[in-house]
This record gives sequence, structure tokens and C-alpha cells, in this order.
Amino acid sequence: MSIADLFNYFSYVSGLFLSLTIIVLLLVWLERKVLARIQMRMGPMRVGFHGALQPIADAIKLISKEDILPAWADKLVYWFAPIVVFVPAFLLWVTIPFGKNMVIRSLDLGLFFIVAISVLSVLGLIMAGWGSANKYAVLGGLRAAGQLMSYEIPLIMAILTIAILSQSLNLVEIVDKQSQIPNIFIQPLGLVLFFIAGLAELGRTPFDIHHAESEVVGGPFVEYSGAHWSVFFLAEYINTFTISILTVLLFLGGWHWPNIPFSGNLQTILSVFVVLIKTILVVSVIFWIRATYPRLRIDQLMSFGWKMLIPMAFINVTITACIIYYDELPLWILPILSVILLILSAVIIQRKFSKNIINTVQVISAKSLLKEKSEVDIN
Amino acid sequence: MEINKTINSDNVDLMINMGPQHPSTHGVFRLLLNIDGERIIDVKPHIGYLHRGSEKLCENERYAQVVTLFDRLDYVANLNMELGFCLAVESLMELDIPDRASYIRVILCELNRIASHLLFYGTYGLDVGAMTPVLYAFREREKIQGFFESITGARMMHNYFRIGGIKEELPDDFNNRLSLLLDEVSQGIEECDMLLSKNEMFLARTKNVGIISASDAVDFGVSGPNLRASGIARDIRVSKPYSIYDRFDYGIPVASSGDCWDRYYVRLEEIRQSIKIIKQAMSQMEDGPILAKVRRIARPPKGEIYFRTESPRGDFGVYLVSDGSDKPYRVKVRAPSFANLQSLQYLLKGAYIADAVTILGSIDIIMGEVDR
Amino acid sequence: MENQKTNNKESKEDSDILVSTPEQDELISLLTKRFPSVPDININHLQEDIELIIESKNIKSTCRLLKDSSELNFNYLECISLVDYEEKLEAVYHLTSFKLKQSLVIKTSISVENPEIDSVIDIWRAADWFEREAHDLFGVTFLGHPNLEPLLLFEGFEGYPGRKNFPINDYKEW
Repeated sequence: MSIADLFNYFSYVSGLFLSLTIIVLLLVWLERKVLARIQMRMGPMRVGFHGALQPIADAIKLISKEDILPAWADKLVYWFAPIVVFVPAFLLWVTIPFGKNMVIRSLDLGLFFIVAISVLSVLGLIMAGWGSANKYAVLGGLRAAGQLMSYEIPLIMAILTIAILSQSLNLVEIVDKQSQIPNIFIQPLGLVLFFIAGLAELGRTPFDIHHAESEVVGGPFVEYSGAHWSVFFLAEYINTFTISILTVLLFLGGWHWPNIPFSGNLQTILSVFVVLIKTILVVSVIFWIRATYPRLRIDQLMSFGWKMLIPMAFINVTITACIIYYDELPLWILPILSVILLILSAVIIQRKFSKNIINTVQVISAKSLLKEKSEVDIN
Repeated sequence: MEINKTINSDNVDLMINMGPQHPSTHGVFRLLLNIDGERIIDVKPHIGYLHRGSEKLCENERYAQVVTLFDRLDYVANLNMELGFCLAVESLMELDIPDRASYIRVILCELNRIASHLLFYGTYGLDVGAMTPVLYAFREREKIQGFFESITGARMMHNYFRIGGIKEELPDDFNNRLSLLLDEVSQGIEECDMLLSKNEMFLARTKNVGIISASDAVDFGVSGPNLRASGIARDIRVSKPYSIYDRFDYGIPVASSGDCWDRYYVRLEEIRQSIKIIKQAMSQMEDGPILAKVRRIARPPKGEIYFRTESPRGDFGVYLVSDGSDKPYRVKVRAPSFANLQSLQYLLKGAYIADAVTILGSIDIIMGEVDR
Repeated sequence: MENQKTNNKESKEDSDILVSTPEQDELISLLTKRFPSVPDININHLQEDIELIIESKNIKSTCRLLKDSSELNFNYLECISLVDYEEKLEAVYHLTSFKLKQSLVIKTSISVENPEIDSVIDIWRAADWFEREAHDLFGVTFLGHPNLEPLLLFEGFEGYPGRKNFPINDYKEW
């Protein structure tokens, strides 16, 4: 390895780090703005144009804050946990293309690499929970372990269907395969599975169980402060962006759809913008869900994962594999089956919940109650 | 989702100290939870972090001064607290309150009930993990607080009710502003209702969680919306009508199953009924004096009284013993939250940790009132 | 309750302002039926509450009867208050019967030297915290209460702040 190579690597890493940091700052600002508009507020308005510099101010504040080490903390584990969470989140970007020809290493086993690396961040959460010597943190760490492990399966299954469909694990090839029809029209069920499982992997509402503020007060991060906490924060937003861009690449046609008419450098630049805009749309959906839904309980989360998502994902993989294997079957069967399955699962969920939508509250007129000789018991 | 109330308690492995600085214990309330995984095996509530000895302090203040202490009991429904005390003293003195004062009191108390229930709505949303309801609720509550400020001069600690009436006459544009406020609030309530009440996940989190049967609720001394959610239509405004509540036509929301959702929705429905009461009171109100003829320093005759009013949280009782002097001999406050909170030990056994927050939120406690 | 020989009619004639409603008369007749050797029955004319004055040793049996008898059924314990009259302490129980929509006040005096009274926690679970609070603030021991730890005060607090002899302005700046 020559000095030039080393310099090359270094520039890749620092360039990636810089761009990801900028993206995270953008996302933080976007999230606060989107949430604020949904909640009829203005959001940050003071620092910069419409609060555009607010994330930077926050970052400076976080970095200059004191790092507190709890007296009983397991020092090594405690300080290493943020790194263990951050490194996999960062590492994924080695093989994620964010535009035409815009990828650091187009690995042939790209999807496999992503799946393998992304699992590692669970370890960091458990380490953080354990190292903090805090019961809430332990509880949050255990919750995180259970949740992330369970939802890893439907996530991988959804990725697998796309791999089967595209006959490739290389992300660039998968995107290129979608130049005519994006996978969302072939695999709507796959998209839904991937998105829901992805939300759970991120630990975002309604699956923000492991760091639920109202229950376990921040979960594994409860004792962290300052720069170390901001590393977790950074990792969380990078992961959000990763899941969104994977949704775009795997299902929404990446930079191919709609087709970019130009060629050469202009096309490359435009392709980056197309991917970015689609990704931001997906991220906005995640924020929208955050503003709307309450949190699930851990048992409901588990039963939803194991009883609903995983069977559906298995069925989806099997159907896709069968149709791809038997060449004579036309491909349009797949979207129809997929939609049918989607509707079926929607109906099942609707059935499950509709028994709850009975209004049990009745209003009794005070005038009639006044005449009663004793207190009325409506049971 | 059936909660198994009998759990083998041999393998207790973790004791969690929830509070007094936990974000969802609604004040300085501490719960010792023995948990087995995510299940709660044993609960030990600790209160008293906000104990200011209000009852003892009352014995050393004149009757008019005690009103300020009552403001600080249930600090989100201050006017209802003031009403409870003033009515107790007035009926001990056998005073006749001018009609106008009574109407103003009722209007303000019902507005305060709405504000209090809106606070419940918002924080309950936070408890189950939804962040938007609190902002919707506070938007409406803020209008009510602003309205209070223009009438009483304070947003929270009003000290507006006097023994024998109220402090001062209403501003001129009261009626216009109140009807505008009611329109806005009732529209806001519908928005709030749409946002959370029928949300599938919210239903999954609250339906069939923290069920308390009517007989258990009565046994624990539970009152107010919590008791009505269990199926007993007891409201002091109807059971033992005080002030002028018998002049209005309104409804008492009652639910049957006694779970968290019922407790939540009964309160939401009560807001609508309160708006009804205020509208009627507005149309019935006439001009007149606002303060009965009382001596500047009230000296109720020797005697005692237990006066019940319906605060937003339930039966608010004031036990007042007078020895004929200008200071009460003994004031005992029967705080509804205090009794409601007792049922928590029963409700939480066998529940999930996440449900602990949901159930505690649905009881709607105010620690200022619990600890006094 | 044999030793309580107080005539009901006498106490009624004592005060001239008593006005009782038909429902109250019904309740009084029920009470006299239930407690043949009747203690004092007063009507608090201000709040339409009927007062029952009994001896402290009878508190548990009286409460048990009041709750369990099917026609009275005082199932709701509203409040337990203690009043310090310096020469004696008075425990006041406010009960409500949902069946009759009537309230009842039970009053009993406790000696200051030996402040003990039976707990009613077996009858109403609501009594739990009310009794603990009374124990905290007035130093009354409720016999049979399973857990009389301090509720409102901290562990090791000296004195009984509810009582009249507890100084109110005698605090030190800290």
C-alpha cells in the first residue's frame, strides 16, 4: 500500500464522515421543522434562516458539555459503547451508492455486508446499558436486544426477496435492474415489511421502546452526556438515513426512476439529487409517523414481529422464489399476490383492533340521575 | 392481554426506583417496583415529597387568607379548590351568595375543569408515547389560562373567590370573549379527540389495561372520573348538589369497563359537558352584586362541616372545624387524588412496566393535592 | 354496645335547629333498628349529615355492621380526619352509602395519653393511607394496620405536626 493509496483512503473516510455529519445536521433540522409544523409550532427560528444553523449550535453545545462518568460505571464498556454503535452505522456507507457511479466500493456481496454489519449495533446498545450501572439503562439495553434481534429477521427477509428478484446482492446492480419498473410495483408487501422492520431497527416511534422517555427515561443512553451522547445521536440519525436510502435503493428505483435524460457528469449530479430527494421524502414519512403515533408495549411489539411480520416475510420470500424459479409463470402474478397478501394482513390487523373500537362511554343526563334514590351502577 | 394477577414471586431480580425525578410520575412521586423481566410483581408507592403541611398552616391563617393555601393544593384546578373552601365556610356561616357570584364561580370552575382535563389529555398522550397531543391540548389550555389572567389577574394562583362571593366584577367584554373561547375550545376538543382517542395503537395500549371493578374502586375510595369509568354514576354535582349546579341541564359520562381508555374518555367527554354548563350559565347570568354582605374578617359560628365538591379529580371534601374565632380550628382536606392513588398498588400488580406509566397517567394525580 | 345508654329523643330535643328530611328519618330509623342501644344521633343541619357518636373501642364492630348490613351498606369511606381538642383527640369518619345516597359521620374520641384505636382497613381498603397519615401527623396508633410507616413525613421525624402543641413558627433557617 503506497502513501497515495493511504491518502486516498483517508480522503474517502473524511469525506464520507463530513458529508454524513452534514446530512445528520440537515436531518435534525428537518425533523424539528416537520414535527413543529405538524404540531402547529414554528420550530427553531432564531439561529440562522428559519433556524437552519440550530443543529450546529446544538452540536457545539453538546461537545462543550461535561462528560459525566457514573461512579459505579464499568469504565471500559461505558466509553466503548458509543464507538461500537457508531462504527457499524458508519461502516455501512462503504457500499451504499448515493448516485449513479457514486459509491466507495461496489461490493458484490453488498447487501450481505450491510446486513452483517448493521446487526453489530445491538452490541453497543447492550454495552451502553450494562456499562452505565443504571437499572433503567439495563432495562433499555435488554429491550433493545430483544427488539432489534426480532426485527432483524423480517428486515433480512425483505432484503432477501429483493435479492432473489434482482438475482444480485450488489446494490448498484439492484438499482440498475429497476430502470424500467421500480420494485415497489412488484413488491409492495416487501416495501411495507422492510419499512416497518426498519422503523423497529431504528427504534423510532411507534417502536421507540428501548429508549422510551416516559418509561425507561432514555434507556441505554440515560447516563450519557455531552460528546458521548452526541455520538449515539449521530449514529441514530445516520441509521435513519441509511434505512431511508436503502428503501429508496431497494424499492423506489434509486436514481433510475424517474429517468434522468442527461448523460455524463450532469447525470451523476442529478442522480444524487434524485436519490437525496426521495430519501428525504422517506425520512419525512418516518418523522410524520413519529408525530402521530403512540408507542407500542414490548409484548405487543414482539407479538407483532413474530406473529405478523415474520410469517408474512417468509410467505413473501417463498412466493417470490417460486415465481422466479418457474420461469414460465409471468412476473405480473407477483404484484397481484403481494397486494392480496398486503390486504389480507391489513384485514387481520383491522379485525384484531376493531373489537377495541367500541365506545364504552355513555352520557347519563344529570336531571335523570338527580331523581335516583341511590347511586346508579350501570354494570 | 389478560393480566395474570397471580405471578410466582420467587425470582425477584430487579427493584426499580421510579421517581421522584422520573419524567412520567407527574410530580414528585416515587414508586418502588419489584420487577421480573417486564412484569411488575410488587409496588410500594412513596408520597410526601411535596408535603407542606397545608392543613396545619390553615389553622394559623384567617379564613380569607386560607384561600391562597387552597390554591396550591390542586395546582391545575385552583378555582375548584377555592370553591370547595369558600362554600364550606359560607355554609358554616349560613351565608346566601348573590346569584351573579355563583354563576361566575360556576363558569370559572367549569373552565378550570376543562383546563385540568386538557392537561390530563396532553400528559396522557406523552405517557403512552405520543408527542403531539400535548401540544394540541396546551394550545387550548393556554387560551383558558389567558382568559383567567384577564379576569383574576393570575394564570394559576388566582385567589379570586372570597368568602361570600368573588373578588371583583368581570371585564366588560367577558361574554363575547367567553363565547369565542368556548367555540375555539370545543373545536379544539374535537381535534384532540380525532387525534388520539380512536388511534389503534392508543387503543391497544389502553383498552383492557389497568381494570378496576366498581366494587374495588369503591372500596379504595376512588372517586371522580375514575369511579365513573368503573360504572358508578356518582358525581357530587348531582348526588349532593351544591352551589347552583341543580339549575343546569348536562350529562354525566359513565363508562362500564373501568380500564385506562374509559378513564381517559370519560374526562374527554366531561370537557364537552362542562362547555354545556358554561353556555347555560352564560345565558342565565344576570347583573347584580358579586359579594354578600359579610364582615371583613369572617368569624363563622362554633361548629363543624364536611363540604363536598366535585373537583376535576373527584370528591373534594373540606372538613372544617370552627371554634368561633377568625381562624379555623382544624381544616382537613379530603383530596381526591390521595384516595385515587391508593388504588395504584392494586392496579399495578402483574402489569407491565410500560403499563405502570399508562395506569398512573390515567389516574390523573396532582401531587400538590396528594401531599398537601 | 350495651353500655351506651343514651336516649335518642333527648339528644334530639337538645338542639332546636335540627331539621331532618324524610330520607334522614328513614336512615335514623334504620340506624336505631340496627343499633338498639343507640348512641347519640345528631343531625348536622348544615350538611345534612347524620352524626353517630360512639366509643372508640366499638369502632370496628360499628363500622363492620354499617358496611355489611344490607339495608345500610355504607360502602364508601370518604375520609378519616383527626381533630386535636388538646384534652382529647377526636377521630371523625365520613362514610357514604351509595345505596341510600346518604352520608354518615362517626365520631369517637381517643385519649391523648394512649392514642390507640382499631384500624378499619379490613372493612374499607381506602382506610390504608388515611390511617397512615393520621399516624404520621397525630401519632395515633391504628391497631391491626399492617404497615404504619411514615407516609407524608420522612423516616425519623420527631413529633406530631398535626397536633395543636406542635410549634408552627419555630423553624430554623437552613
